[in-house]
Amino acid sequence: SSSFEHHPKTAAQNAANAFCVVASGTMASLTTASRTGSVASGKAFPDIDHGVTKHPYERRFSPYELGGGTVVGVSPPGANFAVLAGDTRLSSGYEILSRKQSKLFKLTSKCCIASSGSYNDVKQLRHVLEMRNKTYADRCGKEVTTPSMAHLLSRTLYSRRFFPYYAFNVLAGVDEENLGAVYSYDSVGTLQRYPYSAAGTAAEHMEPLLDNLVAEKTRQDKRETPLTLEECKELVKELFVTAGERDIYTGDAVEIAVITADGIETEFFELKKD
Amino acid sequence: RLSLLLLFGAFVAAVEATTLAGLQLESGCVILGADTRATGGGIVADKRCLKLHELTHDCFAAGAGTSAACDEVTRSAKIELALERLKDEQRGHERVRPFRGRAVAALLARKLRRSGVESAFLVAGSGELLLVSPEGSVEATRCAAVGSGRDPAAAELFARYRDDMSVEEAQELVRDAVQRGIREDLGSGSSVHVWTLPADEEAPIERRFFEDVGSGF
Repeated sequence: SSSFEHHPKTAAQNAANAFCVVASGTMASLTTASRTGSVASGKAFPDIDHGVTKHPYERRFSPYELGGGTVVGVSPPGANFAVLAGDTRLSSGYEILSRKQSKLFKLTSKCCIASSGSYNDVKQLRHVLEMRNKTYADRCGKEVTTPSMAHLLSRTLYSRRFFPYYAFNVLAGVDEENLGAVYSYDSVGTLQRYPYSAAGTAAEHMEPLLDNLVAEKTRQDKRETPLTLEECKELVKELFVTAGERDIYTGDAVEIAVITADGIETEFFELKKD
Repeated sequence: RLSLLLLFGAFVAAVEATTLAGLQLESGCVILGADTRATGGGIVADKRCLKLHELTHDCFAAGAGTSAACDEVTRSAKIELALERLKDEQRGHERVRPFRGRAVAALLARKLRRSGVESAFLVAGSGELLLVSPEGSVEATRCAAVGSGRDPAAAELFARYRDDMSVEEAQELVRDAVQRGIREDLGSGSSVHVWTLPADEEAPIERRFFEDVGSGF
């Protein structure tokens, strides 16, 4: 029967084995020699060889897990509101972990962040931003303004440039002139203020619709009056219904937050559960 | 309550983005159900695809795996079976031999073994339910669930199966099992097809379609 050789290992090799990061080629040196490993050699599983002693192998641990879902923010040019929405499904692979997990997080009374991606990174990002806001509010007696929060998020993301937060964010709020603001990000902190932004698994399904319906870039007949708040909310609902049809990670319900100078109001809209 | 199902249930290792459920009743009636979602990665490519394939007039199969592969394997099996039937008539046999479910399943299994296609099939024929795994093994079972949604589907089947079910109840159970898979599994969705092979050999295959069971409001 095969035996697992007991061999004095260096601390580094011990660490590598413990976390299964990379097993180096020097393990090959363990494969040879006598097969007379006896009970006294102190092996934990004498009859199990996971291939460790046979040839160099490499195991990789992925620190990211895609939680799925989509977030979108809309604030038509000149509007005094911003609409921020995210679906409430959290998934892992083909399984649903939660149908009621909120992707929205209130940072200040005038801005919200919506994030999809790896939920652990999302939580940490929220915590960092909330802490910075509280510290600032404690010292300066007022909350961080929305444009400053947007830039803070950008710098926070870049601070992890080489091990990024796996979070795809949209930040929405009202700025100092009480105009709605939506900021879009990539995962390392590129920042852009734009009338709309979608992020997450169904972002590619939503962005063309937003180009057409909000910015009217791909249509000839333009709207006479700007989009109202109710029209924006209906648009967002239709976006998620559309996304839910073709993206398997989006569904269950949409949480829609409307941010104005008066505050933040949230409502839920049910989507398909399949 | 110990049901015969516990002794005969069987599952497949293949994890394909689908939910298939099958039930065989004591009477020899076999019911297969399938969802209608075909995915390409995380995107729904087809919301109304048909995963149940008729192989002969009294034998059909449900396929899990790449849809082109399933379609091709069942299509070539259907053609071979039809050719064999024609040859039988040509040879002037007294009666045309019906194909037993096991023979059809073995034919599919042989194709899977030779082609390296990663598909699994549930075959209903001559009063039997057979499970063909991607490696090409065939197993006769009373209850089966296949695909990424097999766990919720199997849970439903096991929870509600009774040995004295009527055909209508069993059809509803299979539909509900696939519906559970549609709701709990991201790879399955939209609607349910339920095909029934009646215990009576002369009766045709009964086909039912339950539209859009994934809404679940």
